[in-house]
Amino acid sequence: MAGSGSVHLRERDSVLRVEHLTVEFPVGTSGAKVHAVSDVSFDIMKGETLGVVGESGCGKSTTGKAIMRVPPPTKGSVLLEGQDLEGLSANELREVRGRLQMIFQDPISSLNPRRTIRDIVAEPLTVQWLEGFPRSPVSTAWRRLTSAMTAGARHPIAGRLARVGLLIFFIGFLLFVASTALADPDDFGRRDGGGGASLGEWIMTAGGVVLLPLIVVGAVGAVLWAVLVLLMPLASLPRTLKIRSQQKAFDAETETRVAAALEEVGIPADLSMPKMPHEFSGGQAQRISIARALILEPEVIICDEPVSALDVSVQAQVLNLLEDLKAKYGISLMFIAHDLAVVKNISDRVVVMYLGKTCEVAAPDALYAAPRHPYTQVLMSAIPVPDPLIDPRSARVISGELPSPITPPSGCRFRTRCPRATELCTRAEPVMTLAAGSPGESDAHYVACHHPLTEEDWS
Amino acid sequence: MSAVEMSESGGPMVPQVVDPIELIDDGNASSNDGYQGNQKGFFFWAAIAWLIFIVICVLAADWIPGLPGPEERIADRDIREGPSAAHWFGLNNRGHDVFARSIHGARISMGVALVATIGGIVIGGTIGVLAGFYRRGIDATLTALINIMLAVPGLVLALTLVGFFAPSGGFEDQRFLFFDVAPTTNATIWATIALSILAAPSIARVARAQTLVWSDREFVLASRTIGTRNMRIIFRDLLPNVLPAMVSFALIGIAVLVVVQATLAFFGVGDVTATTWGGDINIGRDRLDSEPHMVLGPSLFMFLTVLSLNYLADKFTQFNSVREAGV
Repeated sequence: MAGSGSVHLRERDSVLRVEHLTVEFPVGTSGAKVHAVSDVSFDIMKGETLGVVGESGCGKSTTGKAIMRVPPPTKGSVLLEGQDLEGLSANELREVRGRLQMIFQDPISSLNPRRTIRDIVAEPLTVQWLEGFPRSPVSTAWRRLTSAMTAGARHPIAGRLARVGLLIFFIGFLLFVASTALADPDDFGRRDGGGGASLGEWIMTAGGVVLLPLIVVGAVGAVLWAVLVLLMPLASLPRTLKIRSQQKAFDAETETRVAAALEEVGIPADLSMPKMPHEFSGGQAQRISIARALILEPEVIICDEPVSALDVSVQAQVLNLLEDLKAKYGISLMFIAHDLAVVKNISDRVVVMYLGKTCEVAAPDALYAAPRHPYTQVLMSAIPVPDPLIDPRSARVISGELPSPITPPSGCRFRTRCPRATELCTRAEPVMTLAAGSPGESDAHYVACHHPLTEEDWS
Repeated sequence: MSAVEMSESGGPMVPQVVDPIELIDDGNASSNDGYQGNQKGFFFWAAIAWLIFIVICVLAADWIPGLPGPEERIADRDIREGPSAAHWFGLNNRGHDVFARSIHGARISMGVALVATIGGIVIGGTIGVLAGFYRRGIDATLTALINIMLAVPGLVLALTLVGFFAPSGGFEDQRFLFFDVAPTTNATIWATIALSILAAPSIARVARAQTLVWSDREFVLASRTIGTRNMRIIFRDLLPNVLPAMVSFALIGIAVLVVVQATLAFFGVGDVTATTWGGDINIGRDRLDSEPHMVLGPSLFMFLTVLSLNYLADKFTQFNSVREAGV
């Protein structure tokens, strides 16, 4: 697998288009990286549901979060209706985020336990409303300084400087202490380390010089920061008063919108709004999350395993709700899940992922009936069948663990566990190719494999 | 919202929910009411009553009718007289009423400890929340700072600070920031600052640990996905969740601060002329074997106050943990 390439992207206008998305996280200070998502591409049409499946740790959730830019991707582009999210200013991004929303796996953890349902659902509106009030110059300066200092403190050069400076200083200190301790005491019991001690002092001074820029910048920044913080309440007073004066009107307007959103997801609004999240069940909490995502009238909702933490009977409710909303508002869904049966029922197109790469892209029926990638086949055979006569031991399973994403296998990333792997798979990374159907149509079936399964393998 | 209110508003909701499936899993909404820790028993109200009494002592000790002043000499000859109906805790070696002094002592003892605790929450909370929220380099730096503060012997730090900034002796006004203040007031202010700095690092550790836990919750991620600014996330999403643990921890710390403040007075640092519980314990200390009543009075006040605070801190934690358990 380990499929790269983007032939499976459709030419038509897509609502969400993800190209060559790569997410890497640094590990420690050695420069090693976790290759969480590597060169993943896909697109979603208006009103379409894209299912993303794969085992735990394959990067499907990371993909969803990277699209939302929490954190932003290392490489690649995300286009929402042709608009690239990369390079947008914070304010422009905030506007775009209204059209792109996300719901999460753990419904209870998605709601702040100390805020009322009204506040939680109204929060996206509140945040956008507050952005309408210009900030005082002091706040702006403070924000710039804070982010500059954060970036500076995280800059690798700062870390290296600090480490080297402290090391030099400590060596000098040790030298000074050692030579002083080894010297003979004079008549008054004092010890003079002589040359060793003064060399130690010089080395300590050198360490201090290395540390000096950090200390100076840090101290100046901290003083400036403290001054700005002290000035801020006064400088922000006009803005605060303006917000207070309009708060009532905004609350009244929000109230109706929150109530509408809650009713939309089947939560009785009047009773629920003053309540706290712990008074709701998992299914209800997930619907409240959906209401929060809906309130900004998004075009795409990224669902990160939205039902895997729910009771089976409640799963169906939430899925039906998502389907209804999709039909009613033409919302596109990116549905991340590891439950293959759920994905099959809800999706128009399915992407199979393995260790940060895409394996196969196809319509669910074709994918489930005739998987072409060996990994997809293994996934399919892992779906439980409610038939006591079937021997579970006969299912195709793969041995071994998911390889480390820090040092992924060369060539095809699935080759270490693949029954069909050959020497070719070690050398070359397979590229996404059309395996069946016609490009751009719904029957298109793409696979990234050197040795895809054929008809005889399915029988 | 208390548990009682919860059940009242939770009750009528059930029949109005349209969906029968929600009826089934709505059951746990008010099931926390049976939890024992949630009940306010006799000791809860006794602790509240004692603390109200202490607050009255702090605010209005000078106006309690029939109560002698702290420096009022009751007896010239029968000093160190034992407890009697007129003087409940007896007299001390200067012939002052120990009970009256215990009441008057609440002002400085509790005032300093409370203000220092609030200062500790502000300093420690800021450090801890910033470290836990921004992580990485900022966390490493602030954690190092916390560890350094924890490693410095607290009493030495406090003695140095107070001794340096508010040297005792002399009656001339000293300068604190832009104000001229009496030397005794200055000493009290610096003792309070020193105690805040002492309390800060351990509170910062609690705040950091809590922030680490809460900022991993998905509602913080959800806030980020709608473009919420960091400050709003800290104040709306994190602080309300971090603060209860911090406050419960700090309330337990008040007890320690009352004792440390007494220790400072014992070393003759700070305002040694003030009437405090620690100072009075110090006065009666050398007669502990023959006239223990001189120590018992202020000790009893301190003991009951600290016990009440700890008990309430415990209860406070329980009320909060119930709400999280529901979640």
